[in-house]
Amino acid sequence: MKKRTRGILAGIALATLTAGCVLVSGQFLVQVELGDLSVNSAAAVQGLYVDLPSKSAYRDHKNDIKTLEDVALLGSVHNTGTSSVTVSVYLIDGNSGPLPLATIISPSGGKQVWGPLTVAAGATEVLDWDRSSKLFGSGKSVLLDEIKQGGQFTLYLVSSTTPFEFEIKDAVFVAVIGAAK
Amino acid sequence: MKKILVFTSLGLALSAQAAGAVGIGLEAFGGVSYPVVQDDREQGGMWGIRAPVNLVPLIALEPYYARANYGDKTIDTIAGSQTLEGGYVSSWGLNVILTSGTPVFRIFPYLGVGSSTDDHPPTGDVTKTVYNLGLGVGFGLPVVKLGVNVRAEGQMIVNGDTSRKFGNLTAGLSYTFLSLP
Repeated sequence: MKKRTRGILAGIALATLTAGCVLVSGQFLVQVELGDLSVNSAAAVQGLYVDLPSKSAYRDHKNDIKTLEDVALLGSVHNTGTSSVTVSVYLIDGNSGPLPLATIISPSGGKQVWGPLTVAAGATEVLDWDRSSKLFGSGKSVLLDEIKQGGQFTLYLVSSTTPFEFEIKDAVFVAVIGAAK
Repeated sequence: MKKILVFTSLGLALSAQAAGAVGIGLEAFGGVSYPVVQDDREQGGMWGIRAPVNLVPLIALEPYYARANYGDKTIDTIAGSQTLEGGYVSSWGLNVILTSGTPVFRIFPYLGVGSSTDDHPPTGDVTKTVYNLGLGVGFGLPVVKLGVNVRAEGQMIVNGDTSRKFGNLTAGLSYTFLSLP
C-alpha cells in the first residue's frame, strides 16, 4: 500500500514537472488605439493599421506567444450610405495602405477574420467586447498566426454589397495573448 | 524536566494516534481565488467540498469539488470602458495529503490532480487537467469530531503549451464521521 501511495505521489510530482514551461506563463492584454476612419467603396479602401510591436506588453512576450485567448475590435460603425451594409473585416499582412475593394476580397488578397455585422442605413452599431469577440469566430486562428509572425497587419472593413460608405469611430484592437517560456 | 518529558510523550502519543488513524471526513470550505498573471479577470470567491479518507498512516486521499467565480475585468479604451467577464472555474479531482501532527493541531502539505472547466465568456468553456499544490493547517476538537482547516493552494490548469494559474486561500469546517484507531 505504501508503495502504491508513493507511486501516486511520484506520478503527480512527475506530471507537474513535465508540465515544464507551462509553469512560466500568463495571459497578457495588448491594446492598440486605431482612431477614426471613413470608408467609401467609390475610392480605394483605407484600412486600420495594427502595430502590435509598438506596445510593450506585446514586445515583452512576442517570442513566447502560444495562444490567442480572446480578441475584440471595439468602437462603432455608422452607416452614412442610403442602403443597409453587411460589414466584414479582412486582414492583410503589413501596412498595406489604401487598396481597391477587389484586391482586398480576392482569394489572393485579404483573409476574412471578422463579421458579418449588418448596419441599417443611417444607423450606428456599437461594438462592445462580447459582441465583437464573437464576430471573430474562426478568424482567431488567422490572427494568431499574424500575431506570432510579427504582429503588424492591416484590417479592412468592407461590405459584401456595393456601393457602401460608413464611418468607424474610436476603433481599438484589443487582444489577450497567452504566452509561455 | 519531568514536565517536558510528560508533554513530549503526550505529543508523540497523540501524533502516533493521528498518524495511524483510519477515518473518513467531510469538509465544506470557502475562500478567495486570485488569478495569477491573468490580465482578463479579477479575483473572486470560491467554495467547495472535500472528503478526506485516511486508510494508511500519514497519508490521506481527498476527493474534492471546487468552484470559483471570478470578478469582471474593466479596461478603459477610447471607445469607452469595456467589461471582460471573469467567468468561473469548476474543478473536481483527488488530493494526496501528507498528514502530521495531532488531532488538535496538524500541518499537511498536499498534491492533487483533477479535471477543471474554465468557462470564460465570450470565449466559452474549456475542460483541461488541473494540478494542485498546497499547504494547510488544521485545528481540531476531537471530542465533537469537528475541525477547522485553513489552506493556501496553488492551482494550475494546463492548456496545451500554456496554463492558467490561481492562488487560493480557503477556510473549511470539517466533520469526521468515521474514525477508527
